[in-house]
Amino acid sequence: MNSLYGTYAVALALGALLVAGCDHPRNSADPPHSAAEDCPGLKGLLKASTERPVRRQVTQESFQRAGWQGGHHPKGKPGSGLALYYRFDNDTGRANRRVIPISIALGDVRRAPALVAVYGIDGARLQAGDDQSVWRLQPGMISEIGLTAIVPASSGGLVAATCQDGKISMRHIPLPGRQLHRQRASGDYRLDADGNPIVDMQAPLVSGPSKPPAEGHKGNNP
Amino acid sequence: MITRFSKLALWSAAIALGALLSSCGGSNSNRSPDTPSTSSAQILGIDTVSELIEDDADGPTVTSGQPSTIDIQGVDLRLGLQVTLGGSVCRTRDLVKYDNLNDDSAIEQISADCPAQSVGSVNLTVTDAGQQIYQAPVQVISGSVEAAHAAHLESLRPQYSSPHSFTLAQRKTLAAVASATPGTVAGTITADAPTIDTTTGGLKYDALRNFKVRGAVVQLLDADNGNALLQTSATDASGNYSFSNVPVDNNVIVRVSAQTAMTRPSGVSTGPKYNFMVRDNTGSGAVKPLHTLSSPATLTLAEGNVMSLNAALGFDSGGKVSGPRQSAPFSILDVIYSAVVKIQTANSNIVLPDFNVYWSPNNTTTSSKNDINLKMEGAINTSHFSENGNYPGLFILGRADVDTDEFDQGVIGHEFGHYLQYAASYSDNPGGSHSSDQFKDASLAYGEGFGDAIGGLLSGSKFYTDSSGVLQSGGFSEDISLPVAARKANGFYAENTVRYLLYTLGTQYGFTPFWNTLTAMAAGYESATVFNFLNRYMIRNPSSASVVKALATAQNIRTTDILGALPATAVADPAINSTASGGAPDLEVLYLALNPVVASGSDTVNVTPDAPTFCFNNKLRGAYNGNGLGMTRRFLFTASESGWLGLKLSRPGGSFADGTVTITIRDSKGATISLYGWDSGLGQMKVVAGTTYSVGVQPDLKTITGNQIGNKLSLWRIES
Repeated sequence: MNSLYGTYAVALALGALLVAGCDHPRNSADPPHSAAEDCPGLKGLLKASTERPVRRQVTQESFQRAGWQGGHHPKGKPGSGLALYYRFDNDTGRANRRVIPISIALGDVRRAPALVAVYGIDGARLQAGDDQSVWRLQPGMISEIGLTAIVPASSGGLVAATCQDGKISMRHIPLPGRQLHRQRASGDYRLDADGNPIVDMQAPLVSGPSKPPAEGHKGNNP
Repeated sequence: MITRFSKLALWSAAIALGALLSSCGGSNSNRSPDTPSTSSAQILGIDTVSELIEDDADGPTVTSGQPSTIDIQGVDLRLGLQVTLGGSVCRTRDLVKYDNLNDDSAIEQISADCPAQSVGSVNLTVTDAGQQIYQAPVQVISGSVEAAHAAHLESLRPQYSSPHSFTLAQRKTLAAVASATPGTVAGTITADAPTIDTTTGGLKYDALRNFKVRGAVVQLLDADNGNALLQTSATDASGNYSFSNVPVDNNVIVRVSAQTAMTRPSGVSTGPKYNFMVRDNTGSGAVKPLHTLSSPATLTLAEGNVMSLNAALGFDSGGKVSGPRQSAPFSILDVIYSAVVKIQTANSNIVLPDFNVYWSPNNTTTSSKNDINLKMEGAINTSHFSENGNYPGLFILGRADVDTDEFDQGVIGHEFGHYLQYAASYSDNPGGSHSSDQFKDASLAYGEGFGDAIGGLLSGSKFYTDSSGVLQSGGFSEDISLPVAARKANGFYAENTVRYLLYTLGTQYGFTPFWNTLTAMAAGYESATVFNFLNRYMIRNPSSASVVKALATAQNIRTTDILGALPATAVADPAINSTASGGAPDLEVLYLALNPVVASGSDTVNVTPDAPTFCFNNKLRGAYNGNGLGMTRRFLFTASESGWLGLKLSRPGGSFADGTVTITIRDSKGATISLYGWDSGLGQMKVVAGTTYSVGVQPDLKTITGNQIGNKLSLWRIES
């Protein structure tokens, strides 16, 4: 009797899932595609990709946000439309820790194929096996993956590339205790003669002059 | 004993019941109705200038002796917060989403109308439930803040000197001047860019192109006199510039700004007027630095001087950063130049509000969460347009090996399109996360589809490409001239449907009717939707009507009525009908009618006792974050009396609390109507008898779980 009720509960859940609005994975009769075929834009990231299974899957409704950062891809340009959450595991708050486990959860997958790949920047890298990997995400579920980042002391971050419907979104995840790595400005910050701030980018003349600047000229680049 | 057959029947029944339980009819919100917001408001900043270029970043300032408006940004705001300025009570109004950049950012904004103050420094305070939660000084100055702001804007506009004129047509006559002519300094400004792989969207650094820097402000500086300004001009459509009457034997510098501007000489009221500048948001200081390219100091010669410059790419042939990325701001500027040239073909007297674009190599896809200042360190989340805060503008990604957008013309055109919609038309796009193949609110689908379409029309490319990843070698590319593929979301709720229709019309009939339709949408109470666009387009271009209707029908746009009203006999769209949506039967009804009656007496009374019930729905694909189809509901009413009307939003067993619903109100002239605080409901608005108003209602997603039926918006005549 109990097992019958259990069966009905599963059926109830299935019924609810069927109207939850997600499409279904590609027909299993279709030949399998590689990640690069399913998402050509990831090709540059996936020189030698290995598909790995996700760590666990939960329904959208059962996913608990507490302790996770991130969320849906923000307003602005079109992209994958996937939600990306991340959490640093075993975070002891030590600024110089070089090995940082991180969990990434991805949701709002509408239809297969949907993929995620992760890589390190600014000196950070993923431990062997986590790099050059790609994970396939199932529609209607939150998929969780686990990674380990190995980072230098001062800077470093991870970038997650999510792909759905052929569109890609990037999420730059700063690692705990690491500042965003400051990029070189395109010029020098200065004030012009009227006191207005400018980025002063210096370029040589690509034509002329017939004479160099007069010796001892009074000009100072502002 | 249960037979196999009866087991199957039970399974079927259980599945059906499961479906029903998750539907609008069976699952009301699991939140308690009428529960007041338990979280306390948090104030993040204030702002006293509500224009696209701000000059109060050093501190808020108001004019003495006259009422002022102060925008307050924060989290968990509501109109019931008590705001004072100099001890005088201010009146709060208009809760809006500030940026809605991300799930972990929920910044909102309210405005406070405050009484006149005397010259000096006064405090603005915000009190929540009797507890002061914020205090900040506001400077009260004797001069007019508005006049100071206007003067500031004027100072940012170039004062062109001979031979530059103020029309683009005349600019073109400067072509071919880049040769040495006595008494002149002339030259050509160019820049390097990678080419784009339209298959993958990636950038190709081993196949560069060199483009002309067009329409950019050029200054001639006196290097012998502290770099004082000698003359100002601009490059023409071929990247050429020229200065005449240049002193001989003088050291000069040519400086090109990532700025394109058209000014009207004093006393002239015709001709285009705008000023767009590309600045570095990660530079220090309140006013962010303008990107400029400068020549070395050069001695002028009597026989004339040619001083041409090229902005370097700053990447090697493999896509690795190798030097200063000088060409990036000029690449962004070039999209804007192309746009304004095209707009001037439709309206030679176009006036657009001055505007900043923020680009930096540090602009990356990190969330700024609830810290507005992190955007100024590069955590801009994504390329986007923002009209709020101390730094409104277009933010463009630039972080190499993550996501760079300076060469993605479609991305820049798309976001510039949002600016144009804001500045020259009307937008009630709720913002937030979006993607194709989702069922979105009609105004979001229109806004995003419009952005893609006008981006393609203005840049002259049918490809929307977006490069990203290591060495910018990845990304994606879409041909926006193609209709929506089978099995994808396709209708008034799908951004790709809108982009295809609008792009097709823009290419088939030219840009002028497209632009005229866009600007016509600034008037009227109707939301910015594909219905509104198509209807007005046919009015302005009657010969296109049959084509427009056929195109619309083929893309599942089932009516061209301006309000999206379907004939009573129409069969529901199977993609969004009650079954597909889990029980919401009214998602194709864009506007619900309210019919206020004349109330007797002077008490506060409900003047819409017959208001219809409706469903909020977030079960469809893409409805998850508050901007999906069924999460914003629209209402129309014609005021029966003049005076104050209160708005209440109820649901079975209770009502929505102040601060949990965003309201947008527009009158029949297209004016935005403010909603002020009201302790009995969501707020109150002032109406004029006989005027028609539209009201858009969007509850906070936190207040809606699943579908919810039985909601009702009612209007209340407030006790006089």
